[in-house]
Amino acid sequence: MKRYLLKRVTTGLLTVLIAIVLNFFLIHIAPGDPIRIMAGMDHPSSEQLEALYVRYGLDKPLLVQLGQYIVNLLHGDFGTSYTYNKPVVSLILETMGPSILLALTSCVLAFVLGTLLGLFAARHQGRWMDNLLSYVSYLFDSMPPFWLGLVAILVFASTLHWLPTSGMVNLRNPQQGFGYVLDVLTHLLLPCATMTLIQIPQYLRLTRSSVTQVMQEDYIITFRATGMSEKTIFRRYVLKNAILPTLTAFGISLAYVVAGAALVEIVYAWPGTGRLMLNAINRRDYPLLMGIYLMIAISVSVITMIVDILYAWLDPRIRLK
Amino acid sequence: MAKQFSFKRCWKQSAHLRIGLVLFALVLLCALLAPLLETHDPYRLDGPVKAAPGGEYWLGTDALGGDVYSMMIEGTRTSLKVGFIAALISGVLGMLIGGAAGFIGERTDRVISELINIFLMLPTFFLVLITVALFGSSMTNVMIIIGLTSWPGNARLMRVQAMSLKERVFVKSAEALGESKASILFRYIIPNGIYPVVANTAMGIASAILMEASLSFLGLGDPNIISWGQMVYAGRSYMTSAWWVATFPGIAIIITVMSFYLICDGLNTVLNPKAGKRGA
Repeated sequence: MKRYLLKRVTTGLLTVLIAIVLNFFLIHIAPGDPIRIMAGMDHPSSEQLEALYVRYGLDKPLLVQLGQYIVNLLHGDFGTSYTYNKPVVSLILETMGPSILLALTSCVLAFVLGTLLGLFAARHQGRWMDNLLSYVSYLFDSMPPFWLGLVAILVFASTLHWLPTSGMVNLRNPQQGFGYVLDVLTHLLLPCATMTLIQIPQYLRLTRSSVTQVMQEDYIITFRATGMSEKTIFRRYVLKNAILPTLTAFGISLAYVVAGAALVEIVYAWPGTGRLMLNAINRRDYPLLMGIYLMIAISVSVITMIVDILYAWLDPRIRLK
Repeated sequence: MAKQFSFKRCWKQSAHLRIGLVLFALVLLCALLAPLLETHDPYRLDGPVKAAPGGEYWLGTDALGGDVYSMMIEGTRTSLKVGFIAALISGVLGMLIGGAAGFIGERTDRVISELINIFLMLPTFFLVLITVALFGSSMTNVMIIIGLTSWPGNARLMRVQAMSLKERVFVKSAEALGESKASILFRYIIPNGIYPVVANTAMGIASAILMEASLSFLGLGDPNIISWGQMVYAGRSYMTSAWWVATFPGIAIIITVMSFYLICDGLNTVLNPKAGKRGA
C-alpha cells in the first residue's frame, strides 16, 4: 500500500506541475506580448507595462521566470484580475459556494438515480425496458447541457411559469431564514435537474456493464451451482463488487465540482465559477481565466488522487498490481 | 483481437451500429448535398426577422433574418469537418505515441504511460478553452487544438494493443528477419491494433463536435462560419420570442453526436463481444 501511495502522490504532483508549465508556456507562445496579454488592455501605459515587466521578471531567462511563477503560485498568488481589480484566488473562492451547491447536489442525485437505473437495466437485460433505457441514456449523453438548460427554461419557466428562469435568489423579494432556503431551492431545481439528467447516463451504463461483468465471474457461477438463491447472490456478492467502479466515477465527477457545471451555470445565470469564467472570456481577462483553469486542474488532480487511494484501500487487487 | 474484420458481420450483430450508421449516413448526405438542400443562402440575412416556422422559411428565421433551416444544413458541414479533422489528429497522435510506447517498452514506455495518465487527468475542455481564447477562435485553431489535446485516450488503447501484439509470432518473426523497429511498428503493430482506436475515434468525433458547440456557446466560435453551437448561442437571448432559432440546431447536434456514440458502442460490441455485451 505504501508503494502505491507514493506512486500515486507523485503522479498527482506531476499532474499539477504539468498543468502549471502548460499554463506558463501558453501565455508565452500565444501571439502577442505576454505582458500585453496580462495587462489586458489594447494600449496600456508605459508605467503599467514597466510594473508588469518587473512583477513577472520578463527580463530574466524563461526558466527563471517559470520558477518565479511557481513560487508565486505556492504563495497563493494566482495573479490579479484586472477587470475586477482583485486577486484571482479571492474571486474564485467567492463564487465557489454556489458552484459547489449546484454541482454536489446534482452529482449525488445523478449517482443515486443512475446506479439504481443501471441495476434495474442489468436485471432486465435484453428486455424492452433495458433497451429503452439504453437509447434514452444515449439521447441525454448526446445533449449539449446548455441546450437542455435553454429548453428547460423555455418549457418550465417561460411557458408554464412553474419555476424562476435564472439566478439563485429572487432579488425583488429578498427572503430571510427558512424563506431564503426555499427561495434558493426553487431556483436550484431547474439547473440541478439539467445537470442530473446529463450525468445519469454514465452511471447507468457503468453500473449495468459492471454488474454484467461480475455476473460472469467464476465465483458467482460457483455460488449458483451451490444452489444459493439469485437474490442472495445479487445482494451479497454482485452488488458489492459491481458498485466499486461507479464509486470511482462519482469521485471523478466530484472533482469537476468547481467547473463541471460551468455551461449550465451560464444558462441559468447561476452566480458560480462558471459565470465568472464567462465574464473572464468576454472581457479577455486572461489572468482570471488562467487562474480558473489552474484551480480546476489542481482540484481535479487532488480529488482523483484521493479517489484512487480510497479505491486501492477498498480493493486490494488494485494496489497489488 | 486480430480477427478478420467483416462489415457484414458487424452490421448483423449490433442494432446500435445499424441505427448509428443510418443516422450518420443522413447527416453525411446533408453535408454533401448542402447546396441542393438549402432553400436560401445561409449567409444572406435578407428574410423577415424572427419569422415563425412554416411557409417559405421551413424552420423560421433568426433575429437577423437568416433562414434557420438552410443555416442548419450548412452547420452540418462545419460540425463534421471539426469532428473528423480533430478526431483524425488525435487518432494519429494517439496511435503513434501509444504504439511506440507499447512496442518499445521498458523505460520509454514508463515515461510515456506516465505522461498519458497525466494528460488524461487534465480537464481537456478547459485547456481547449484557454488555448482558443489566447490563440484566437478561427475554425482551424479550434480543430487543431481539440485534436492536440484529446490524444491520450487513443494512446492508452493503442499502447495496450502494441504490448500484446509484440509478443505474437508474426511480429517476432519479422524481428528475426531483421526488419527495422519503425517498419514493424507501421507494418504490423499499428494495422493490427487499430480497431479499438477506430471505435474510440467515433467517440472522439462526437466529443469534438460537442466541444466546438460548447466553445461557440461561450462566444469562442469562429464568427465567419455558421455552426450549430453559434446558432444556439445567438438564439439563447430570444428563447421566449423565437424558440426555434436555438432549438433546431440543438436537435441537429443531438442527432449527429448520438450517431457517433451508437457507432462507437456498436463497434465495441462487435470487436470485443465479452466486454461490450449490451443486449442490443
